[in-house]
Amino acid sequence: MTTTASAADVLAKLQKSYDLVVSGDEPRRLRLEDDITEDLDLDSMEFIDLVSVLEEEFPADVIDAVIERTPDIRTVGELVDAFLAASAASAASA
Amino acid sequence: MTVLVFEGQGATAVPGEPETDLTALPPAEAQRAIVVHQLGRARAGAEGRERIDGVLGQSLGEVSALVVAGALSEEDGLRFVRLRAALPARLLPPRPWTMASMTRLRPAAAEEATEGLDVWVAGRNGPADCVVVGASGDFATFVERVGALPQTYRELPVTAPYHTPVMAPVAEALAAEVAGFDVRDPAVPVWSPTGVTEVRTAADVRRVLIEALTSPVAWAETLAVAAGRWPDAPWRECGPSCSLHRFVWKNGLKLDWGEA
Repeated sequence: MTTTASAADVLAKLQKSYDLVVSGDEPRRLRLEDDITEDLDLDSMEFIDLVSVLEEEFPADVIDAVIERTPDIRTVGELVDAFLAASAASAASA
Repeated sequence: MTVLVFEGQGATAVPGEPETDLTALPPAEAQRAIVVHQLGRARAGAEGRERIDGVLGQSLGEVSALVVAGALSEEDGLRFVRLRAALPARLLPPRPWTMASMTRLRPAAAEEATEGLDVWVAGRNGPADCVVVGASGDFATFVERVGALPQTYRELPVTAPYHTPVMAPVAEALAAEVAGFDVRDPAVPVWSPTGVTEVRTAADVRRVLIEALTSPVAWAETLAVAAGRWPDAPWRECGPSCSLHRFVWKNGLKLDWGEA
């Protein structure tokens, strides 16, 4: 479990999460500019799944903080930023 | 060899998705549309398939599974679906109900939060996924108790409290209807999430059809048992939205899962 992470680390973890959440023979390579609804075709519950899968990678408070923000997150880049911000806040309060 | 899987009405409705958004249809039409779609997908996928090893259905999908298994005629299956959708309005006191698919909520915690409310856990889909149904006012209280964020649950276009004791009058009426059906022993193995049982005989078929109305859908447990029986088979979901894949990985299972 990590308390701090780089954007590349978070993106790599999200890629693994996405590959699991979305079944398919040709998983998409995530890009920061991808729109979560339009490009990734995730509905709101799948978006929650995408984040929740990372419970083994991030502390629970980080996951909770990101999930709280999901209604305002539109792109993969914004999601990565949300993880980074929540991780930093978690590390600061530890 | 293949295992065919059929989702329920709740899993099917994704508001805003043209191919699966049945929320504008009356319940009877929506439920019929789902089952007709599922049976068509099962038939269409039959070409090139050597045989069906087993079938599973979640909630409404259990009817499709029984038809595909040869236990019910398509005509009787659709009649059952029509009555299943229509009878609650005739036989239950008028009351607004809310059913929702919830994630990040352990079924045991959900059960605890129903204390004193007209709210029930109607389905257990995974370690932190369940379907909850209740009188709309009580459901709101339930949501407050468990602290669920709006983005972690989706209200479903279901207007009756399926899979709860409230449905007992409907179950009684449907039992009389089912008694007149030409029900046969399934030609292929059927696993039922109503009690997590294998449906082997015509008597089993009649029992699960009726008990399903008042019993919770034990999807997580059923999936685990069936996965143990057919771990290497291709599992093919027969639509419309093919949303059940998520409960495979959420239950820690690895299956060759795809669409029929």
